[in-house]
Amino acid sequence: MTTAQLYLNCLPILPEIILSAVICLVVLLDMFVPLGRSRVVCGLVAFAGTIVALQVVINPPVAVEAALGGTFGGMITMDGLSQFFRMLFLGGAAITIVFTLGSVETIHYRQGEFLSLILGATLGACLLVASNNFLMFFLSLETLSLCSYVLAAYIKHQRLSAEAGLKYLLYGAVASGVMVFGISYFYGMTGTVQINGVINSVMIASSMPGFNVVPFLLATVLVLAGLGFKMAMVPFQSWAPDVYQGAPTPVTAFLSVVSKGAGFAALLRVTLPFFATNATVANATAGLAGMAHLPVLFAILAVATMTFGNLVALRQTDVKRLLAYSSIAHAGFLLMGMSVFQPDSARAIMFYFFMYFVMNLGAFWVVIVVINRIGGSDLAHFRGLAYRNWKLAAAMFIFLISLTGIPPTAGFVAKLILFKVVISAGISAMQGAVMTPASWFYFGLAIVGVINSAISLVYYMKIMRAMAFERSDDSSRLDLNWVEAGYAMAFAAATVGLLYFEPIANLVNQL
Amino acid sequence: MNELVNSWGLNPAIPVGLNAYLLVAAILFVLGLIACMARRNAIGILIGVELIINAAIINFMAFWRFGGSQTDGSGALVGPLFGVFLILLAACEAAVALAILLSLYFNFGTIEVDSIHQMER
Repeated sequence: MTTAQLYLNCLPILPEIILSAVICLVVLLDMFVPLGRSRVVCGLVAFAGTIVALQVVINPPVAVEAALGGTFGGMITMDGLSQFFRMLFLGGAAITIVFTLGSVETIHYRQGEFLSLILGATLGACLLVASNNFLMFFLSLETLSLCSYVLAAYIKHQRLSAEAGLKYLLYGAVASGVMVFGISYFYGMTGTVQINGVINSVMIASSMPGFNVVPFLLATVLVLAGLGFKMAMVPFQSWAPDVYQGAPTPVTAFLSVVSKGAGFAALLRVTLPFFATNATVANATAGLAGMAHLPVLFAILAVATMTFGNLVALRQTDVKRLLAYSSIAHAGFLLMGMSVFQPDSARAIMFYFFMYFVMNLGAFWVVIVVINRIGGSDLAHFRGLAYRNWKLAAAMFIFLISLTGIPPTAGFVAKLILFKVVISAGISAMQGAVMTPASWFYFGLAIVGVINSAISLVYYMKIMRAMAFERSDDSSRLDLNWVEAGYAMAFAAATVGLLYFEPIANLVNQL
Repeated sequence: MNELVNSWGLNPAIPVGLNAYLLVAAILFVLGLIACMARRNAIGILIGVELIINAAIINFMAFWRFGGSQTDGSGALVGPLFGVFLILLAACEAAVALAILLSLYFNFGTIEVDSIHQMER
């Protein structure tokens, strides 16, 4: 590789290169800046670096089409999917850095380490969604995971945090080991580790007579175990509540958007060729005999995930833990989109994720403020919040109805578009006005989704009731500083403002 | 391949085939998974994870050695490359894991996973 070739290859990963440089800079700065100032100095440097990287993603130095073939021998690819998710991950990292600076939970530690771990996890997530090779894919997934384990266990003197780190580590290590074992079978079956090469071989083989689906399904399930762990998908969800509750709240926010997003981005990456084939349960026979089980598999996982998340959330009393179950339920809704392999459904998943990103981060910010000011995330700490600071309570109210999917909010639009994809798949499976099994399947899936949204209202309502109708012993007014109030207001405004969703729809349609 | 098998002093009439390697890897994988589920000591679980990763390495090397894909340029060294990176990753994971276990030991005085449940169900 000549210098000129190296330069051209490096251009598409310029954001990641900037991120790596910032990580080194933050670690070095942390050594020389006195402890008292390290928080502000390192935070500003990390924030600025992330924003620069985000800027490079938005205005790429090379045309996206020029890099589509991939760089570094096809290891990295740049397309609409990777652009969209890199934007989200870098934005999520920047917001998490602000969360960290605004939270009291990590105040006694040097911030440089913490911030560099967050940036490292973001680096892994960005490379993960851009990778087109299973080696790259696995390495970036592990970069993300290893940084997240340490982040979850960051508060060294706190039992909850240590326990969260242990649970995350053990489940994560097993899941990634199982996943790499599945990848080895894919390599054996297809002779390549290029992701598009593997998928193409599988698609060609599945259309041939006498295709044996069992080894393919086995390898798929093994790989899904690794990705399902990241997405907190049933039956790989059991780490999520403990980790979300025990980890420092900025880390919980980070895990619930960037880490979960990385899982979904990776799943979309390995299934992306399917979305161009219009494979649904209905046209399973049309050249994709072996793929008929994939939509069914994802539908079953979706129903299990959202129902489990919603039902267990009903009896939670800790808001962080409740939001963990809520995020499991949202993973179920996102998986519902995977049961329709059409270009529209991939867009609907990305669109839903964007909305989830905004409203979930907003909800976690309110939790951080409550922990800062009232000292805990239990339901009891939210009592009477509407009387103590109506602005904060109003913001939380907006996030909660948005998470439920009630109209004047972003969550409603997201659910609307996702349900539309599923229902239109059911309609297109009808023969004239006659229902077919496939259309029953999709209508049933949509109905389960709607019922689940209704269930979720019950436990979101629990928080709203505590805020508005219950009184706390201490009813003095809560005075927030401008960062705390302003950030909550900004997220609330974004959650309502995203009703005008055309820019996001345009962004997603680039895929 | 026969020369290779000969040099190991094995019977050249019955070369060790792909299936033997896959079987060993599958057994190792299942043993690792059982260790992860049955062990109550965090170190024991981590050893189980190492077994799973080693099973994947054996698979990669076997598929690489017996597969027909070594000829194309970019994928020529996939098996060994994957193996080397997996060994590296296992080491990284062990380092992070031991750090977390140390912090856990300071907090709880034990690393038996059963006795560590601070949070309500």
